[in-house]
Amino acid sequence: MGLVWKERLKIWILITLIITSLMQVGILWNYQNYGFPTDVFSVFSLGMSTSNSLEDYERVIRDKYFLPSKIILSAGYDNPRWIVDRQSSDYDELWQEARFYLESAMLSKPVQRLDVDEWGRLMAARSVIFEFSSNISKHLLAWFLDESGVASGAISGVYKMIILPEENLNYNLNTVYLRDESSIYKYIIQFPEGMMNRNSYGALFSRYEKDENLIQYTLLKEKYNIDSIGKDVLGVIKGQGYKRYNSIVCNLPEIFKTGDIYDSSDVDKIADAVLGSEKYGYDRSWDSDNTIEFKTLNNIYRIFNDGLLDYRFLSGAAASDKGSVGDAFLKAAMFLEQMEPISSNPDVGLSLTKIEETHAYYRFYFDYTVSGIPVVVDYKPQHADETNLNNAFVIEANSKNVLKGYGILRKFEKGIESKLYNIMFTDLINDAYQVHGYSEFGSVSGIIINDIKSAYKVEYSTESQVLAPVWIITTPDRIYTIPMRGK
Amino acid sequence: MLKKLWGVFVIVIAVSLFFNTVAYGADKVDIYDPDTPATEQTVLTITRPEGKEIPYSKSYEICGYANKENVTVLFLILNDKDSKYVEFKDVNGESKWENIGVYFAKEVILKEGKNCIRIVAYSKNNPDEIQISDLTIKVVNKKSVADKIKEIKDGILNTINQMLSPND
Repeated sequence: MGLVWKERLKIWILITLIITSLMQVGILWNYQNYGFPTDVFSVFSLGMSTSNSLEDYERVIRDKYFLPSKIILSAGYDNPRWIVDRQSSDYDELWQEARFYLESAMLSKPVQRLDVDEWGRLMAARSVIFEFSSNISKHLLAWFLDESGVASGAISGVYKMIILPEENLNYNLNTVYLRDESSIYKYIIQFPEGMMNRNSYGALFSRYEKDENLIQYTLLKEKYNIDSIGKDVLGVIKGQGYKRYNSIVCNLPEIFKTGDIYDSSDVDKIADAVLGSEKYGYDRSWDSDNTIEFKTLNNIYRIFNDGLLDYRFLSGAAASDKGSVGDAFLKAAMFLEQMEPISSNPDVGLSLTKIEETHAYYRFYFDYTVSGIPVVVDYKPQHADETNLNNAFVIEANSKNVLKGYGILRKFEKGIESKLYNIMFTDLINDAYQVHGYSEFGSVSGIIINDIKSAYKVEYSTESQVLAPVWIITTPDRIYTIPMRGK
Repeated sequence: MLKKLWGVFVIVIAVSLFFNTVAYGADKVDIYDPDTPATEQTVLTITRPEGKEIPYSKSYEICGYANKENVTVLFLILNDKDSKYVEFKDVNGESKWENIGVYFAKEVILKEGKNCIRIVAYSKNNPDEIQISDLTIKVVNKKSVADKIKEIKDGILNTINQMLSPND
């Protein structure tokens, strides 16, 4: 009898061991979802639902990060230009149009190849112009457009795009030009049904022409035909010359606002915000300067008290893991989106401003935008081992992992007050000379202005900052920041 | 020796008299007189208008950039009645701008037809060097013959396209 009980006990112990070993497998497999592994068995059958949610997630990433930095309506030579407001429905409609034409063009053969110097002539036509912050390679475009055929297009990438709805004599055909870093390619594409046709574009131009409240920009090259001004630089030289801007309050996210040394609940909140559901897998430590370290065998996050985040992948990366730029970009974007301070505010976005490629990985540069206005970063961290930061985030990634990521976590809110600022080109340039002087800024014949844009600027601070708009003047050598004149 | 000293003295007097005469002449430049000739653009380079321009719109921007520091600019327009240049105000009611900085742009409203504009510029550091630039801008009515031809052409093309359109 005793033997039977002994055998039964052994069976129960065996069953328990089998169940706990399965649970352990589940824990390791489903590494990111801690807690009691009630769905242990589901990880053995990764079904359609997971892949669907990944597809949904990819779509969200594409919609959020694949946006032009500027959409311009041009009424033609010596006529006004308008920068389409990011918040307006026109922006969304025109961008939807552009995505269609971009995909169609990349999937077809260009009818003509032009020299890049021809861009000025195209800008002088009645057209819609789409500018991106950087040249987006055709491989990344293929991922953004979710159309693999785009990667085999004739053009190396797209930096700017222009639609000339009235160029073709056939009213059913639209004309699209794509510009990469060295050439311009012309495509003829039929106006698709259910989207804007030639008359709709005409009506759009008329609406902007009649709206006296809109700020009219000038293609400066048409007024100052000199080498100092780039072919597509816009400026305001007529009209009231003032534009209303909201001030922006830039803060550290609330989780960092602890005057004293962090306690464990403070660190737990930061872990929640930065690591999300992964937080339980990380060992945590912090020092008297409130520098926190979250660490696993493979990853280390260091978060400083000024919101500076420094992530490293510790396992090393093989060049064979480089993979496609699209897969690497997805990893980089997911890294950013998992952070609550970045993903929580719909008015605050991150735009992809530059891409670099090495033999083993891709490097992506991101910058904040607030209500469509870019935020430039000129950040000198107060930590000895950190270099100057000129972008919100710089992420190095391959198709398997994020290898390195550093940047500043910030929270942006619209300030209560708005103010009129002088936006006249002549005044802003004269201010540039006053701020930087002739010796630094260069004489009219000694400088080349590639771009002028309004932005907000973030510098080092652990305190709340009220950001006023500034001018950013880009030359081939450097970027100048000029404060805007208030009224 | 005394003769040489006298010689030097006479030369100094002659040179100073020459420069005084030039300076006096510069002060006396009649910028309102149409017969006063235009000069080289040494003080202000005018980038627009570039030559004899024929815009459609009466609203027009005169643009340029200063070649010197502390430049003053004055706009004049030829008056049809007495054939004299008179003050020409921009849309903000100003006709003279001091210390314009580097780049310069002013919006003016022109009359239909021929507009003879004179732009006077000088640097306060060297007020004797007066730049006079005479520009002619002819504003034509948008409904000119060329436009009417374009309208007719567009109309014909539109009709052809409507006939060829598969939707119709």
